[in-house]
Amino acid sequence: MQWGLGVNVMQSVDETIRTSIMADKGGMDKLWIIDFPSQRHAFALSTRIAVETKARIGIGLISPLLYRPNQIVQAIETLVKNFGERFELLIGVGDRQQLRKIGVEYGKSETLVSRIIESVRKIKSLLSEKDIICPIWLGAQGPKMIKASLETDGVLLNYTEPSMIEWALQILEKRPQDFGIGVFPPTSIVVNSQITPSNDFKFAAAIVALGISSTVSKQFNLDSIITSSKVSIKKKGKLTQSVVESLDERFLCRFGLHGTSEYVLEYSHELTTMGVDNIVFGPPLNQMVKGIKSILRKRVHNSDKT
Amino acid sequence: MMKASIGITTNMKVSSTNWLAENAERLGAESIWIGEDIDLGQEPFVLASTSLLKSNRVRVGTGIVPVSVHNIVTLARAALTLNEISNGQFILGIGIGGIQDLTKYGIQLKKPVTALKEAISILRSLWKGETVTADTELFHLTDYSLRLNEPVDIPIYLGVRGPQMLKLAGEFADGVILSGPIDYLKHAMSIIDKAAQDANRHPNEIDRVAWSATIPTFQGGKEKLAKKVVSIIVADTPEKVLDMLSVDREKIERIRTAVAKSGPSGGIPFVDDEILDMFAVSGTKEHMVDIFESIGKLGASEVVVGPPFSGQWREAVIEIFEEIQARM
Repeated sequence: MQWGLGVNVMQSVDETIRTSIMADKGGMDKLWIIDFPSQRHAFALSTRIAVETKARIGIGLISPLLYRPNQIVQAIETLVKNFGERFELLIGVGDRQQLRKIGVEYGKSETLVSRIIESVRKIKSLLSEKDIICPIWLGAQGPKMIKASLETDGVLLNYTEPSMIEWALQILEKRPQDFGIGVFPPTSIVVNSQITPSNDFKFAAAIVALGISSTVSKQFNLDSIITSSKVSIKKKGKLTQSVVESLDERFLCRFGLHGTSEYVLEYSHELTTMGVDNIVFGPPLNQMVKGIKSILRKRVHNSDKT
Repeated sequence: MMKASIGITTNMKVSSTNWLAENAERLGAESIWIGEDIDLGQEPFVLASTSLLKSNRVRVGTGIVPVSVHNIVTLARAALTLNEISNGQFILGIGIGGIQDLTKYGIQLKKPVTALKEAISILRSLWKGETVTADTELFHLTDYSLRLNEPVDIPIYLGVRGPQMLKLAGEFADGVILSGPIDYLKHAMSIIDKAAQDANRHPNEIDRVAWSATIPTFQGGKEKLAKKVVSIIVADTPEKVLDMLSVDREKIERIRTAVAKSGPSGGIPFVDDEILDMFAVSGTKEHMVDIFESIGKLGASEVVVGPPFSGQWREAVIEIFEEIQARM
């Protein structure tokens, strides 16, 4: 199982670099540089991280609705030519509300998946023409996007709960042997399981939970829990504190990883047995230095378990 | 004596841009300016970042990235990132984009001057930490904020040519990147000065960076490449700029027609010595630095060396900068 850490969320460049160096030295397999809606530009920031660490560097989620395929390929090519083939790319649609704020619309929903895949094909084709090796992951949650991810090198599922991951894996039953399966949960590490999740964690988990499609919501009988919250977001144009507070903590913890480092290790082991080979620990873990260190120490100490 | 800087474009090899960045300080360069050739070569912000990391204390600026092909928030975020990476040594140079590129990407702007003015305003508001809403010809933001803890002040330079654009630079920009013949540059400087004064700014508040194509004819420099570059420049030069020059307009139209039909290489046969001298800085190192000094006397605070880079260009660049340093 490969572990990755999502960085560049509400952090200055210096903070991101310090976190990255610490995680890299502690044994994190990959550093994922998160792009929009983060404040800092992932591609530009990646150069600094490439200089300061030896880690594999994932960049994303990059939305082809925001960057043209040519721009994405140019960035990867420039990075690879400077720092070698240590980069991976996560392509996805992106958060609808956040993109709308900057004038980027999803467009027709019926063609959204096919348009994203078309962009992926173009990116793959351009990279191949230039002889650049860069694995491409697709960020997915709904069944169409999950299925479409088979055209890439792997899928990063926007799920945390094993039952949801299991459901997603059924869609990917006929996948190639070297196809990557990953998850990208909001993550918070605490010293004991009695500690309640922070507001940052709850917000991150709520973004994921309330972003699920109606198909997924129906599949897991979540309509009654999330419908009114979704209506509120649509009305106000953003996720508010009051909406987050209205959601039960146990519900939110189905969409994020909150627990002790032992819990994370057990979770990692459980996912390995299911066929998952990548976990990317998302925010707010990037701001929890002790949490990052503790899960890495735990992994080293229990290296036979993962 | 004005300062000298290095000019590069995204459509250059990584080995070349890295060499220039690694040697910039040793050469005595003030800055590295990066022009974006849209969709060609390196990504401009990754290139700016690698240039900053390799050049240590030299300023790096984009000269320019077109606001018409990047989301304005991407520009704001990239500049914020590069400003932090460089501890304040980054300059965001923007423009609308060349006529050729806009046509190729199907971009038609009814009011380009207004669009560029809006870009400056939006960028500065975002960097102050403000929440911005804008619904204009080019920009569409709704309650967007970068959520900064503290405001940042990143210099904005405009890469512009026409009189209205120059006026805009005088009124609002921190600097301007100018390109063109000497009589044009003289005219451009006076437009900027007047606009600054009318806006109650001191003309010295606006940096003037003069960036013409530089083609050494020593160390194996290729004239054909120079003519190709000049073809692009001539094709992209607005009518209003051409009106300021004493140049044979028929020659200009032949070049423009050829480029429109067959691309930059199509213009090569029609670029003669007169046009080459008018639109580029060319010749021996002494002659080139003579021209740079003339440009400095017009009011340029900085002159840019390169591109194009051809022949034994590394040796040529070293010699040009040595000549500049010798005259200081």
